[in-house]
Amino acid sequence: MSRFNLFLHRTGERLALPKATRSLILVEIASDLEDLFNHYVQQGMTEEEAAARAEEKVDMSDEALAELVRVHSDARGWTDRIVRRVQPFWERFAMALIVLFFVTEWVIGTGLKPFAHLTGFIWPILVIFIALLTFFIVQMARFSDHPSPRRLRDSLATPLFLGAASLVVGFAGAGIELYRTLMNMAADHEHAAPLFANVVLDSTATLSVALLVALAAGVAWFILAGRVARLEDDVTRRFLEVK
Amino acid sequence: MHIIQIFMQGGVMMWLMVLIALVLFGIVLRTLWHLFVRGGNDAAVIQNCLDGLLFWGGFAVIIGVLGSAIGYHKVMTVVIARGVVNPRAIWIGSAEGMVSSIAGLLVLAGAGTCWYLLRWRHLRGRQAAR
Repeated sequence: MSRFNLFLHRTGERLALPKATRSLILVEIASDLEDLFNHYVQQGMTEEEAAARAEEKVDMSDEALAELVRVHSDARGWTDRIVRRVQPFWERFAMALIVLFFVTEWVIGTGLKPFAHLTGFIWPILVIFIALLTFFIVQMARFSDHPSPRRLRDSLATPLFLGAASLVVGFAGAGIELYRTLMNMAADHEHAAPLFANVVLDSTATLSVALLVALAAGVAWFILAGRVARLEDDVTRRFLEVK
Repeated sequence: MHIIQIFMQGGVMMWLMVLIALVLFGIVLRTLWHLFVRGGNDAAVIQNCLDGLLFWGGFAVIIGVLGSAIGYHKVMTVVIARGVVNPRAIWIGSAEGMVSSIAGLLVLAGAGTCWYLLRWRHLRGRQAAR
């Protein structure tokens, strides 16, 4: 239970808003309160003084709260809002089926052997995948450690970035390989056909891995976003339960 | 050519397209329910649904292009191993490889159109409420 629960409960009662928007605002206020509290404690105040000073600083007039509501309702970016999506059951079920499909395909084998047809661009894509996997594991571990929902939400842009980076490297790599091969084909007419077949083979293998990493990033994002949304709901519920 | 034939040419990825299309259909129904039955008051839920349309539309495109890339990879594996035994089969195979990408783009186009129309209706409702 937070030392600011009573304050947050009172603030929550002043926010006549849909649950999702109210959760967001309360979580952000709670995070600001904790930051201010730590700052004042570091300056030498007692915990009681620091808590009182933090509440005094954060306590908002009705006009300020209305402005906060306006900002959160209208001006948030698309990526921030989609990160906050609370997925209904059927969406989570569909995502589980898609993951199951790719795992099954991987086990059974699709006939795709990307590592038998390496282009140099496979390596940055693998680095991106390792970064994604590490990020996902670290974030999942942080959920059990009473994390700050705001920090977790801020970090949700990372899988999006890694997925986009994988796509960029994959398509750019395919384009560069194709360019090189077409130039070689122009110089060597006799071997044009096998050269072209080989570049398509190599490029599609690299591109497939890049697309799979992008899909994995999408799935990681979907899972983490759902966890963060549920965590924010839990935190808000705890604030509002205090009487 | 029959639509079922074209669908089957897209390979297994087409079944994921169907799944995503069903999810999108559910999201559209949910949005319509909130807009017309519940009066469009819950802006957060409606926005949530609209964002979902774009998320799943983008996902469909990635899966579609992945299907094409895997298809071409398989074709070229055979060509390199056995040579161009039947050029006509290569052209047909290449055309079929496009099916899943086109399907992914069509799903995105459908999702984008629904997003635009539902968002327009939502914004018009909010303006009227003011």
